[in-house]
Amino acid sequence: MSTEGSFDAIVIGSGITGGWAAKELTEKGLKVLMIERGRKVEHRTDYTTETLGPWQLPFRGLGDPQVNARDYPARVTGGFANEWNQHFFAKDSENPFQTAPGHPFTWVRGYQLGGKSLIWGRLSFRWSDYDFDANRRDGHGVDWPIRYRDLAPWYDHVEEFVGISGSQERLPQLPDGKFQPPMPLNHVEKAFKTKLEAQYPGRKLIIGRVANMTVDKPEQGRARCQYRNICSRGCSYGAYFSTLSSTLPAAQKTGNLTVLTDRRVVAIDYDPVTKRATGVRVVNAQGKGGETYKAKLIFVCAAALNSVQLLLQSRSESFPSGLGNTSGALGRGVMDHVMGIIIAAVPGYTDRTYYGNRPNGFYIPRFRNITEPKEGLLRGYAFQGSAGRPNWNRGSSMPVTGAALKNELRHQGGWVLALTPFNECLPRDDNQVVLDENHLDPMGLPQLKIDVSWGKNELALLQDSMAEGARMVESFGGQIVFKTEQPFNQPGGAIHEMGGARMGHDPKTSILNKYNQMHDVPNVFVTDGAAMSSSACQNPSLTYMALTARACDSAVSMLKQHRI
Amino acid sequence: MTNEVSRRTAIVDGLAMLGLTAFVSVRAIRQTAEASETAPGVPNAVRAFLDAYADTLIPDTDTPGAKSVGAPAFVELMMSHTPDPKDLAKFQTKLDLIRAEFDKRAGASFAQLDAARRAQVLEAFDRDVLTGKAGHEYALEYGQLRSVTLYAYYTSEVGATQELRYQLVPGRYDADIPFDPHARAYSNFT
Repeated sequence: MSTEGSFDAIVIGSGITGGWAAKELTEKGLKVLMIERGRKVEHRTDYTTETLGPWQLPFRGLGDPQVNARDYPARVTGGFANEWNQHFFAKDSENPFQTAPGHPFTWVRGYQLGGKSLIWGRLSFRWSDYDFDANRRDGHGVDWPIRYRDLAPWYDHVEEFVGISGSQERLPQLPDGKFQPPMPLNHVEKAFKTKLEAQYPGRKLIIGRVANMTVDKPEQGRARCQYRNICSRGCSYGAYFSTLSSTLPAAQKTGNLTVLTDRRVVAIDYDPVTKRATGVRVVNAQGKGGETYKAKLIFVCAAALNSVQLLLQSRSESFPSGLGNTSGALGRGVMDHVMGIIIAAVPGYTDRTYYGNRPNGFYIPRFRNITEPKEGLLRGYAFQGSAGRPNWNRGSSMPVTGAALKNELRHQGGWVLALTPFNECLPRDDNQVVLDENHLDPMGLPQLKIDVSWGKNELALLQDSMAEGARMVESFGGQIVFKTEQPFNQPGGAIHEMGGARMGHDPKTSILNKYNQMHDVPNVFVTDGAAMSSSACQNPSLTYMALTARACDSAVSMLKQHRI
Repeated sequence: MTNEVSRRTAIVDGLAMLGLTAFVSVRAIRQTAEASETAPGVPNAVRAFLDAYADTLIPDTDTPGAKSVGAPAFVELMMSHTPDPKDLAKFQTKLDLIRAEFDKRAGASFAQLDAARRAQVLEAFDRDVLTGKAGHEYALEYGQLRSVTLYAYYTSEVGATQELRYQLVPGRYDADIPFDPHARAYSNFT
């Protein structure tokens, strides 16, 4: 074991929050070491499938079914991996985890430089005080130690850099931000909006707010979206926000960043005399090495469950159940969003169409328990959706053959409308992750054991959202051809897994304070999804980014004032 | 079966539009995984059937058809990469039933018929099986064979770029434009 170097700060992880931490800390003058467990990926150069047509791939984009079954089953891809992007997903065969009996979990990980920022869904919504005040209001979970006003300037800060297209709507539950011009709704989406808003005064249909740009950012070397909708292959235009396209180059420009790839942090070291973390221990991909890196500040940005796993692994005499876990809350309160799907054929409108692949859809912001209360239901949901005209792949069920089939498929089909509700998940302590000492991973470390299931309230919300969704679609004239009767995703499958190291006022019931700083270990900050005290129903990444930038600002102030 | 097949297709289309195109692949993988079953190198009779079937489903017209672009080889490839041998065995059994039914309806070997007669047999078969009037015991596997053959065609270079149009870099999104019934669809638009 050797000490390899000393830095002002170590950032563990290089995904959306690791990238932001590296950028903010280096721009404030700190010497930063970013540690990524996976391989190095170069922006552009390593987007190896970006421009390939399906005929140029051995399995035409589907991937080898045998490889898919072994390495990329839905439990580690959520169904999002294909032959173009699967090299950006961690393999099941190499990264095992355990689940509790009867409680399956989908755990999607991106172990490479850039992490899941390469493959994320890019929808970027602010949370509001309906969300930050929710735990206090209904007593579930612990009260958030922050409110919207604390985070608003940091939402501004990150949105301006990220480049988010969207419309200003003046909705209290979905605050406006610093947006680039919105992407447009298509013909049927506009018609649906008109009908919906006339019928339900408390509901709105808006274009998605998405981290795909509609205006160039030459200062970052990024161009606007080209409407290919192949984002997860990597985008050489840099049109969507990722660590590689955006925060990493900014951090590197300062000259203050050192990047270490193919090294996994296995523990954060703690000094009981100073009551501070002193650094981190790393191993290589074979589990060998054991170098130590020292720093004054540690930012844990490894992705929600990975960050929790690392803290659980960082045991010492002072913290026998995991770093900063005097409360016993570490690993508890894991959440995701529960989804359903409604698909409807929409008769008519066949004289109108669109050109291009918009990597975005519409959004129906939350109305449940905002403009429309409902007895017996806590919190709410929002819908994502889109309308479009299917192409050739509708042909498989058509009882038409030969030249007639070919002819038919030369043109788009009729309009189809798809809606999917994202329902808020209550924070429950029994939704928990722990280390499983009986199952070791290939590096010899305990696997994570995940025990998370949907609770009564989120299943009731799902039922309500599916009924409301069906009503909206049918009032518009849609004929429902498919509707899920059960949750579409198992927990984790929305890839919005969060919680496990929650923020809170009270060190007895939470891990982090209002600055994402560990109550017990003041020079350690956890700023990814692990920090979340509730789940809201909005996509969470933008909030992680704002929390990260805010935490960096707080940490550097504290450092300068010698308070940590 | 009709409901089942159209349901599945609708899901695929709907998911694609939600931007959840990856789900489509996974569904397709599942379908093909279930569908793909034969040991490497299928017997000649099976190969002759797959060729004749592809050629009948998507024939050569002003553009090459499915057999001409090698769709049957892709069907065979997917079959040979079926993860679970038990699934493979099951699919082979069902494919034998499907072939037997085609031959029965043809009154001879389907693969030996001329194109016009094959078209009649397939049309009648699809009318019965896709609408649930017949073939319940192999309807699922037939749906898989049909979708993989179509998939192979429209993801081939000819299918994607000559039969249809292919535009990797649209460069813009025109959200609301007139539909031109004479223009060909873009194979890579969702």
